[in-house]
Amino acid sequence: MTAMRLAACLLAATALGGCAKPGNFEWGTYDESLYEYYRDSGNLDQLTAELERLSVAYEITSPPELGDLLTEAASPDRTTRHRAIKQAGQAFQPLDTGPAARLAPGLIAELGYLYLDAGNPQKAIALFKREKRNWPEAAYFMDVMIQVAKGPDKSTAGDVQALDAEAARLGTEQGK
Amino acid sequence: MIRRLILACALMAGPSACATVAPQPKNYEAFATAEPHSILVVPAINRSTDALAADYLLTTIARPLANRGYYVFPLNLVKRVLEDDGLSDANMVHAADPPHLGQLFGADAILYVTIEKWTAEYIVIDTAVTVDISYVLKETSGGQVIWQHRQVAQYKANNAPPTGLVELVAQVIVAAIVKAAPDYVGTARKANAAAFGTPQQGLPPGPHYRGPHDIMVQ
Repeated sequence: MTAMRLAACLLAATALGGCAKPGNFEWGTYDESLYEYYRDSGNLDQLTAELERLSVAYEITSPPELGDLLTEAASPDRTTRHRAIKQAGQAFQPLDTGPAARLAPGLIAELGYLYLDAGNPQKAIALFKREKRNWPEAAYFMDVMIQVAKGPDKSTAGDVQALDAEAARLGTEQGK
Repeated sequence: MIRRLILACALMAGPSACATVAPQPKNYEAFATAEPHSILVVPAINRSTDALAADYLLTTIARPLANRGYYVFPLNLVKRVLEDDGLSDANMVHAADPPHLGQLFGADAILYVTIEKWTAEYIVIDTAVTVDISYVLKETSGGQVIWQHRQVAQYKANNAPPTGLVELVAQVIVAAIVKAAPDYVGTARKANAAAFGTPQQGLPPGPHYRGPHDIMVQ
């Protein structure tokens, strides 16, 4: 069993040039690259390049088809969302426990934001959709981000009415 | 070092004096009820004097947290969205109502991280880095705390005392290099690993957990 796992891992390593430790997702040098970017914003290109590399190397070609479940996972109602995400989890079980490590959550969306910020909303939308299909937990937020990317004023990346409204509500609460 | 420890133990009265006191296992009832699938990590409150500590710490959180089996919202994206909406102040975000904050992102739970200490002490040929972090996880339906932990991690560049002049010189050189860049981030990683992964203290494995099965109670 262990030998088989090791063999599978070695195979994956040959194919992808990396081998995640058992029990872990595939991260590449995401955290180190993010650190370098926070240390010096001139290092943004390295972060983008690493996320691009990972997005190609670890693409899930056919994520489970969730149909209505994915719509429910994106519901603004917390209970509906939670139930759908829990149910969808079963469909993702083979990916979670398969021989090759899955790309870590959030990384495709991180890359999407970098594209959005760089003035490429089309690429951003494609990546936000991909994050949503790979991770139903992100469905609601990714729908928001897709709206942001489609938004009327694409130059002000990150601004969205829905978020603004929530933020304003939070601000009011702070004032109380 | 070990010999000194043994000696210290021998000097103590009872044999039980040597055993480290195991902390009480945590109560995971509220955690199990909330059953979080996704965790939103908001920017850290920084009580240290290092202005960049909060950003640096943020870069170390996603990996150990997600590897525990949870969907962790993209850290940089979340940070930028909050900033764009005038919520760049960590104190303000931490004080906000968890259900409302959770609704912004569709998150099941929110992790609030506070840096209590982020320091480096230089002792002749050594550098001791100390990182002290508190973690609070709240669910987003009622804002109840479902897990909390405080973790101190330390890093010392030199563990063994020098045995000769050559070695002493070598260590001074090493210390000089380390002094230029104390490994805060590595120390923070140690703190995170201990905080999330310690059985009966850390986070129970989440829905995407893929082993190793170091089973935590319940």
